[in-house]
Amino acid sequence: MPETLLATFHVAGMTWGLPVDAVREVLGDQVLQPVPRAGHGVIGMLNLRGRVLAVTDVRLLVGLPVTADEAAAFYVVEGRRGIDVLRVDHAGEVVAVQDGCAIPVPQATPAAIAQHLSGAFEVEGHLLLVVDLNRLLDAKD
Amino acid sequence: VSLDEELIQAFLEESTENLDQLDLDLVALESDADNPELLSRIFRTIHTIKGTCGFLNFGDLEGLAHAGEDLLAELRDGTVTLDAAVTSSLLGLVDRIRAVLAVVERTGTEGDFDHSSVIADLRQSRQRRATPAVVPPAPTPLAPPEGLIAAAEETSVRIDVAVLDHLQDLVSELTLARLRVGAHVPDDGGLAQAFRQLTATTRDLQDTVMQARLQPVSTATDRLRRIVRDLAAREGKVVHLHIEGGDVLVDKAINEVLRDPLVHLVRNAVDHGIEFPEQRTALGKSAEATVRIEAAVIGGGFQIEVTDDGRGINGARLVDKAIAAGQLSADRATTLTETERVSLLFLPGVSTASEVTTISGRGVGMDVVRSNLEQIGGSIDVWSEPGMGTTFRISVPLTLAILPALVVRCGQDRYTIPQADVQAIVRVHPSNARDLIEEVGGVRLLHHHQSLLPLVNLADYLGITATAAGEDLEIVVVERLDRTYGLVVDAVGDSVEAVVKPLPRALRGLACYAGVTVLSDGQPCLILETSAPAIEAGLSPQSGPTTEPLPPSDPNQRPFLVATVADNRLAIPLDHVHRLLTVASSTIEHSGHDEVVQYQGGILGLIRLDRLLDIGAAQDSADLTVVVCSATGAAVGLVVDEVNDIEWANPAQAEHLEEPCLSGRMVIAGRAADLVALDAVVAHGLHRHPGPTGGGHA
Repeated sequence: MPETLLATFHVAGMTWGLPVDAVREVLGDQVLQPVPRAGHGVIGMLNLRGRVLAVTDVRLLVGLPVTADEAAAFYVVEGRRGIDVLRVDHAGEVVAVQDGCAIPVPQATPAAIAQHLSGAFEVEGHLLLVVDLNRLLDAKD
Repeated sequence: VSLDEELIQAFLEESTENLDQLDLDLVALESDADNPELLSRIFRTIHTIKGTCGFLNFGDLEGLAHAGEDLLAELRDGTVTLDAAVTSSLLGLVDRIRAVLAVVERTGTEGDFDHSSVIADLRQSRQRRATPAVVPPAPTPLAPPEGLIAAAEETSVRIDVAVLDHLQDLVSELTLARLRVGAHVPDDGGLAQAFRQLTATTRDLQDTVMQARLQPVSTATDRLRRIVRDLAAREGKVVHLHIEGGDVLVDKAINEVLRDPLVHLVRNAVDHGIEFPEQRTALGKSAEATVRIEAAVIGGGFQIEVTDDGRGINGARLVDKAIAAGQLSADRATTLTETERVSLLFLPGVSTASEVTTISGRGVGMDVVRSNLEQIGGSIDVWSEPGMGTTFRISVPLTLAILPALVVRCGQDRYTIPQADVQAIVRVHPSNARDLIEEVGGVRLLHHHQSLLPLVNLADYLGITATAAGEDLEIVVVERLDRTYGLVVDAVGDSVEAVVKPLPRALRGLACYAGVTVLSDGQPCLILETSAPAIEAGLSPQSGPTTEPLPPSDPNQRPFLVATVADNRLAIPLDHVHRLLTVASSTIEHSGHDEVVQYQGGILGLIRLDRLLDIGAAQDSADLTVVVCSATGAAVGLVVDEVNDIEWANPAQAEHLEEPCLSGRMVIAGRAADLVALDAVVAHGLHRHPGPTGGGHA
């Protein structure tokens, strides 16, 4: 059965995953430059090897309160419309899932989160939610 | 690749460039027929093509070039005079050679053309004998400095833009790596010296890569000369094309982006905008129409304007079309301003399709032009005045350019302001604040060189907390799009050479930033779009920050001081206002029939606007509010009840009034206000001619 590799990360106690192809790299703690009046979940910008990228807090995109967690990680992701940086609570492992074993997104998932998901898996007894990156990023516009 | 293929490739590259130059030279020759240098260059190009064709066995093309060369030789000798018909036959030759080269490129052979009609045209032109009265120009030695030319051509090579992009990224990485290394280099010693060398070389490299990407705007605009000439000739119109700012250097990518929109705009102008010579004469315009193209780097962006002096755009017709195309509701239509009506032409299905001709109708609407520009973060605006002409302005961000900029601090953060927009830096000590700063209707105004500038607080504008370091007020006087204002910042820092980078995708659409740059410590820093604070402050001084996109700015808007006199709102052009005074009634003296007060060591005549305009009685109070203005080179004081606001408005939109001292009535900030005609007010309001402005300056 075909497998998909998911880069996982943690947000508000949940485990989320993105196809590894969509993740260019994962950065540790970063100093962000603020962008006043930005809105849309943008919390600042950073310079990645000469390229200036906007940083969006995933929590803001799905209507969760922002935390000042020092373990935060920054996922450099490439969606349909270019490169963005997502701030997540902390980084996770790369997990292989069997494509045929997807389960429906649990009913109890809040709508603000569920609308950005493309499916879910059960991995070693834990729920893993798969994020549709383009839908998540388009939510900003 | 065989030797033949290599030769053909070289021939194609060289000839394509030469032909583009020929187009320009031929059009230039038409207005400068005696220029021997131009003629020699044209002759040489055709001669070279002929020679190479012989070598490559392109017999037909060689014959064609030969016929052209014959005509050019006679032109050079002065036995044939150049006129429009001769130019046309030569341009026909250029077009045909270009067509053949396209076939050569595809097939490696010269194809199956019949050149006889082109050659016949060229021969016919040779019959246009010079009249004996014309003194043949002195024969110019052809003596082509062949070696020199060959050397010049070999010094340039074509490079794929993608390679340059990559080179650019590598240089950025190198710069950052250098900074990281620098933190560990001791202050002196051998390593320090080597590091200084590295620093200098890195900087050189950065500049050189940048230069490699730059190209004059003329690369995109020069070809318009030929287009205008052909189109005007075919339409029977007389059009002069004036290009300004062609030497401005921009990223090659910008030239690429401009190419098609410019052709489209110029075609539209000649085809639809400009009237026939007899129509123009009947309208009292000069028979020769003008299309102006002006390019400039303004702030963080590049701007190019295409202006014609033709008939203008029919806004009412666009409204009808937009309604018919389902793009506009009839209700909404009644509320549009003239600029908004004209801007309807950017909506899909509205571009004046019924006027499309065989030449300008290429099936591309203005909606496509606009969406192409928006894709790269640019914009296009239009202004039009019926009977006077139309201006299109294309703005594109400078995605890659070095912009001298001023770093300012506001709150915890740094921002940059394009140096070109900075007119002055003013530091106001608290002890001077009362003299230099006034407050009107919630807007602070700065006295600066005889005028009053509205102040915008950068921290308020950005919605952040200021942390003013000292007691002094640091003000950057910004001049942008004819608007001058003072930007209050926490501290003014250094001037830097900022490498402009595009805003990250998630930040596009934010009107307050023009781009972003990376400072020497590696931190990104936003470049302020300086027109935005002025528009925001001007339109609604007390409203908080918004993230709404700003309306297209109308360059004809001017600032006005709005004052109340006997419940009437009056607008006084702010450019003429020097100062606001409070005068005790008891200090008023009389000089003849005029009321005067002492002012800056001289005498200031007062005009009671309520009496002059006969608009009911002003409030009676012990202190008078006086607006000191200049008109016809003199200072006068206008007595008003209250000064309310500074607002921006376009005086051209004022409705005419039958009152000599008012130049019209317009809507300012949603309410009617009467525009004061200062010169008339002075002429009617003072019995004695006012004296010159007092010696002291505000």
